[in-house]
Amino acid sequence: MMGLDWSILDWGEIGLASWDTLRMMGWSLLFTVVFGLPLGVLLFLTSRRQLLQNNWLNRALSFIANVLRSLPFLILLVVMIPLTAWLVGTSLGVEGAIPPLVVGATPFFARLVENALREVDRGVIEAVQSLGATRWQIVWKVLLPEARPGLLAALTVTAITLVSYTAMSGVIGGGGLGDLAIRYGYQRFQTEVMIVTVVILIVLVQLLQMLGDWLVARVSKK
Amino acid sequence: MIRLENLEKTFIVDGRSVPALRGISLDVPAGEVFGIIGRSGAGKSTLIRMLNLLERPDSGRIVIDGQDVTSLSETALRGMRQQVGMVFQHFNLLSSRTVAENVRLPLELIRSGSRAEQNARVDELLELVGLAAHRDKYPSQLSGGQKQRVGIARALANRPKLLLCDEATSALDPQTTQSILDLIADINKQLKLTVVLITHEMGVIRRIADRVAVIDGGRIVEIGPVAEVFLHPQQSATQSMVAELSHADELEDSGLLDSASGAVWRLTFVGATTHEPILFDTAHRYGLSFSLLQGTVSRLKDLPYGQLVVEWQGETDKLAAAREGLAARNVVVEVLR
Repeated sequence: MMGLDWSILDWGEIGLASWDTLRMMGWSLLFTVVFGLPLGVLLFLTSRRQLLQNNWLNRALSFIANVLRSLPFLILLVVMIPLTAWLVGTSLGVEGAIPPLVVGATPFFARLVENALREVDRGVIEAVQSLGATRWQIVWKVLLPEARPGLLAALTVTAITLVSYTAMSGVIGGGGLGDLAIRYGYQRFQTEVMIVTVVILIVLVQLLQMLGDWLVARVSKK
Repeated sequence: MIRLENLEKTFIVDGRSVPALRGISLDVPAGEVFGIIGRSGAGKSTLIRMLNLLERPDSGRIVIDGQDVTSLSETALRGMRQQVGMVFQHFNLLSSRTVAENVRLPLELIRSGSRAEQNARVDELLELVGLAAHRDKYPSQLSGGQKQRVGIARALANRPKLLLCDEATSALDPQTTQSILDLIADINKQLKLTVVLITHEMGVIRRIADRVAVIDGGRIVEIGPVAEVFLHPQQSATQSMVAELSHADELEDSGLLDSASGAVWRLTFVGATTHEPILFDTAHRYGLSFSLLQGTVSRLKDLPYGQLVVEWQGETDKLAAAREGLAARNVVVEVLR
């Protein structure tokens, strides 16, 4: 490669940025599951012919999820700055990136959860109903365990989406690899930094996908 | 055990109302194996699902064990369902749970006893259905018959008084069907359990049911002891289902009836008569000769029966005497020609 000077790379800073990306992804994934899983279960249960069928609630939840999903993440980042500042005290750095990441990923994950639950055999739910199970028991003992492979696949896709979102949050000074790529690779024309961050992101996504596939295979008993 | 009074149910499909059940009334005494047979779409599935209120009737009463279940609160309904086991055509096992965990599920749902007590009950049930060796396998590793055994064990876990079988053998091959039916018959005797089963196969009814209701177009068109309904079907819906099993329609197709020169009778007999040499006796005593056009000798549950189509050659008065002689031996004679 002509004209590239790898000695300008500050590996300490790259390491720190990678760690920031992992932290952003980890924390936002955690909160995305905390909010998205119940939302997905509720979306499923309130839909037609399901245990808590409620057209009004279902439409309302669906509408909110769609609105949030139709906003480009970049816009969401900017729109949320006041809310983020109020929530975590800053709209910068790793902390500042987490709220918009969670808000961006939660409706996405909830939809994936809803789809995974739809894959559960209706007959199985009916069989457990015939055994006198409560709705709560059906969710905990049937729906979630039976959908486990689908839920783990949803988690994998969401984690990978979050990695790409974290890179975007670099635009508003969110920290992490995206921030590094924009500040050095783009604004200072340091192509070397751009290449390294891209390679790290690719490796990270590959690792996440492999881990996800392995987990899905492990829990799948079909 | 079960009393159904005037059940009505109409489904709304694409804005049109489709009647599923129309004025269904019947009684099933405790300990009986009661069969409901009908073609697909006849309403039998809707009917059996009403017995544990997976489907609610539009009107009518469902009384189980003296209790009108249509008026139960949600909690009381769950309690009732725990007393009613159900077995499904497609088994409906949890794929994420092992055999033992599937059977333990109903016990977990009502938090019955300690984990050790639950496991002891699970082992007992797996022993009963002959799956003790497979307790830690997952359903995907089992054959259809084995899966249905798990389904039966699960249905029995809470010691129900009533077992509902929704086309329990329809997804199984004939041999496996036989072994599952034997198991259900066994359970009925051993545990003194009332069994209600629905099927579209007369063979299933013949093997294990005591009484049968024939349902057609949402109505019960015929009901009675299996031997009666099976051997002397009155309604065309019943006749066509019985014909499938007894190959009666083949006789018409074969042209044997038309080419017969003598008198053709269908003889039907049940119980001890089955073991008697009635054809030989009749021919010998009245000086007739005969040829056999078609015949079935089999069992209705534990009752041996036979149905023979016989062509007789002989004088008219001797034929008349033979007919009386056969009737005196409890053989039902139908003159086909």
